[in-house]
Amino acid sequence: MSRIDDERYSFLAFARNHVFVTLFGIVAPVLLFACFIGYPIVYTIYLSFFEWNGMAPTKTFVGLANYSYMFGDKYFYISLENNLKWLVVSLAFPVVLGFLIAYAMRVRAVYFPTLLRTAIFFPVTMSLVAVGLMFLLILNPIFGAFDTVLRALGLGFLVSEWFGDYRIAIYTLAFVGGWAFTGLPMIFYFAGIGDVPKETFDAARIEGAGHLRMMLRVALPQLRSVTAVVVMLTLFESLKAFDLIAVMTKGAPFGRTNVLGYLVYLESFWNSRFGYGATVSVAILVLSIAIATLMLGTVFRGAFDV
Amino acid sequence: MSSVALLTERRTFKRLRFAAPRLFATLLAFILAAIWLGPLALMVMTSIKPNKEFLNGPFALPIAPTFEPYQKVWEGLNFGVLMQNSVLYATTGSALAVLLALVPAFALSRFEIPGKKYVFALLLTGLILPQQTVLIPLYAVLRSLHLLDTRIGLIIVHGVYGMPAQILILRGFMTTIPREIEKAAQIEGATDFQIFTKIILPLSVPGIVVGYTLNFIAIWKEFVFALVFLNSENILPVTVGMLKLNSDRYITAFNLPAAGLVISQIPIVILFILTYRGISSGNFVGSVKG
Amino acid sequence: MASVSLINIEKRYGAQVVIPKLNVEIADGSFVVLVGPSGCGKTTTLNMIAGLEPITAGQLLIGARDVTDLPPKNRDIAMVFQSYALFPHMNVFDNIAFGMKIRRLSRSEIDTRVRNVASRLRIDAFLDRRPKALSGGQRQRVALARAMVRRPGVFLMDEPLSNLDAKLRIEARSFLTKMHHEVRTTTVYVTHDQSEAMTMGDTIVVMKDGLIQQAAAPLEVYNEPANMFVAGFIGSPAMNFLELSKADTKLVDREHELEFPVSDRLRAVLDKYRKAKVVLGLRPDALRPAPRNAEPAGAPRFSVDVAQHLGHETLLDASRGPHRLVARVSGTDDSKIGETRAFLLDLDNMHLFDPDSGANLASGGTGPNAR
Repeated sequence: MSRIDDERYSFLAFARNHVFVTLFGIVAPVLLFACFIGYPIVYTIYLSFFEWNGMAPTKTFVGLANYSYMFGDKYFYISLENNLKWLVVSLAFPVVLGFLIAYAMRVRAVYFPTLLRTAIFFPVTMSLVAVGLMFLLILNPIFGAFDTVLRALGLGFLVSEWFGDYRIAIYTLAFVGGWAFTGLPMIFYFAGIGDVPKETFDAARIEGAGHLRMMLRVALPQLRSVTAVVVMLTLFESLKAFDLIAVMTKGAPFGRTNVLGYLVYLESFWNSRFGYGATVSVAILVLSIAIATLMLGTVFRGAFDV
Repeated sequence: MSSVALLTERRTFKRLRFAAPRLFATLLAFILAAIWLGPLALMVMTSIKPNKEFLNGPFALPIAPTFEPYQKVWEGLNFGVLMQNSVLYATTGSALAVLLALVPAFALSRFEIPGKKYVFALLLTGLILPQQTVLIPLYAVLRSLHLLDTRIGLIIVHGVYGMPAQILILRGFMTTIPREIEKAAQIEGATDFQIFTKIILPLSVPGIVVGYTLNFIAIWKEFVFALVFLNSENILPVTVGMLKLNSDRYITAFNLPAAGLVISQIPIVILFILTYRGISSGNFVGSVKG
Repeated sequence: MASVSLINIEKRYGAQVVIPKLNVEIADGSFVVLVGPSGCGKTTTLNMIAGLEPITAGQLLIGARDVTDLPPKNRDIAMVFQSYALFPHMNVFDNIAFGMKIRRLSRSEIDTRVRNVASRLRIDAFLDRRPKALSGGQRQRVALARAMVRRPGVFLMDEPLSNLDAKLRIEARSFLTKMHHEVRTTTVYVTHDQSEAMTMGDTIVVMKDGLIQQAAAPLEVYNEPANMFVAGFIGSPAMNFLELSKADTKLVDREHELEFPVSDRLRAVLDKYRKAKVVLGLRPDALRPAPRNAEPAGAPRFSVDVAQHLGHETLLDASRGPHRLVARVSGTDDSKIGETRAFLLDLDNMHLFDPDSGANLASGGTGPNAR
């Protein structure tokens, strides 16, 4: 049948005319969503009002007790703080650096761009377990290569207990994560800058703009949708951060490198407090949605087009 | 080249007034290589060092390189099985995700569906979702379906959770197919299904390849679901199996974890070599840009 | 072979009415051109005939069958698109055969018909090539072949020549016309190019804002335009319009000392006309400068602003006060810029229009916006 463009056209009429598409293209994914995403979310919220050790056939209803516990839980706040620190590092380091590297490659300010692009992107494909292991070796206080390099460069004073010092441990983790992640924004920006019409750069150059200005005034404004995607990805990656902590520190020292995602895992599978784990999960979900809506509504208004 | 000439006018170069821009480019290349290639190269080097050369320091070149660490790790961790499992999960999970995503991507890219915006919002939720939010309920669901600790269970999970991203990627590719081709097929009498199979699918092959590759990599490096939903040693993927390398038995002998690392990455390296041009030119990114 | 009838067709997008009421009769075997500026509704109409757009209200008959609610494949039509819409992943043979394969014709039948059409359109050498290996003109012929091979009742063509360069376009024009004469399939053809419309159609339907301004044979549309819009749209360079006042049997602009006589044929029309203002329409070839030593008294005088010498003819841009006109004159004309010249008129080549409605006074047509 013919295409629909009349706004009052109802969904049922559409379905009747396009059975195949509706069935497999809309109903099927929506059903899968409901089962695997909708239901789990609802179940998680439901579970957050109970106490359950994961094995017992019955769950004990405790109302908002889990929530009040959470708001008083020191480890919750530490985890939250760590997530935020992680987010800040992720936005500053991989995203900004990724952009700068991409820009430098586009304006030919670096040699062997293709080789470097592959090298920088490769860690994105590595499992974080592998990355974690690698940096455990490199940042090892005794035999690690990193400290050796620092000392060799005369920066020996910078050497610290990368994992032992609870003040910087989370930053160590965040930077390792950033190291692995940088390739992704870089690739996105590399493609994005390539799509920016070269004439806009030429025009700026004729007006006497230097690279800094061109980056800020010419490239970035035209990369709004790319930035939106990159920032969103970074955001959600940092809220999901789990793998590196699981491999490298497991929350140590003293739970100081805990992040919300790992807290859920710890509380549920190690402390057998599934109810509380669910509560923290809800917190993560609320945070994610809140930040996402905030960003889409303000900074990235109109950057996505559907 | 003129853009590089501009670089020489930057403030940072005032002191090195006659420093050629080549210096900057080489320096930058060196720094970037050191930061990103360095660790990897180091790992490879470490992985072939025999035990006794340890005290020579991390950067010392191996005097008597050996593959013994690889052997030890391979056997100790049962890498053969781990690899098989990872390959299984990545190939089938990815295939499932792409399969599930094809028709939805078709629907969302070509049709004016009433309520399309809501469908998109729903999709986005699937991407935003932290794995931890669904860990517990999924665990419960899988347990009740007796799919816990099974290969099938994990594959299904990967397939369904990979679907939203695939829908977005495939949809992006499909919107580049000109509408008029579809109209022409309609006039020739093709049904929706025929248009999908005979026209859109063949023309979406590059998109499918890209999507599949990305999903393959994502599943290969996936860790959380495998860790929580699997228990038996013989079905663990590489990522979970590698955790053992962090135990005292292995971590103290650097060459062993290093070897383990290298082994775990070999399939990805192979994949990279196969799809090198597509990824490094970054043109797949355009499809994801919304 | 089928006739097409559009009866009281209405097209709405939500609350916005794009085509209020359309009535067109397309005779079997004719070549009808829908022409008009962009946004006039010609492509929408074509898409409605094709079934690619739903018809909000009204009836569509193809070959006396009511097809208003039928999907495209049941309407016995074929369409050629502006971009040709060839399937890039199939070779020429499969492109042409696509519709027949869907309809499950026998392989031998498909093979015969495809080769037949291909040789007719001289593309049989390319049957196993992909579209991207063909030139623009070749691709266009493949699109045409795909449409022809099913022997539909109606051909629908949506600006099929727009993507060709100027020289190819002229060749393709005569090619299509020759094809039509041979095959005699009813054809509905959409274009924004008025010269294409004039040269190709048996009937031209001029559209604006979803309304038919005039539907007639090309020469009739040229010589007896129904209103100012049609008069200004058809013919190049466009017709000149001068707003003047009626003074008995003449048209004047006292302030600028202009006076135009009216032909006998139009005098009667002018008598019946009650308003004070009239628009005089003169095609550029209806004017020429009087010889400098033989200027009739009272002849309208204009000063020449621009003289474009094309060799075989010259276009003079002239003005007087607010009135501007373009005259197409002999190639040997030597008017200089700034020179004031008296102009002679071809009285048989005059048109009078109502300044408010735009209607042609002589033909009693309706204005462009009348419903």
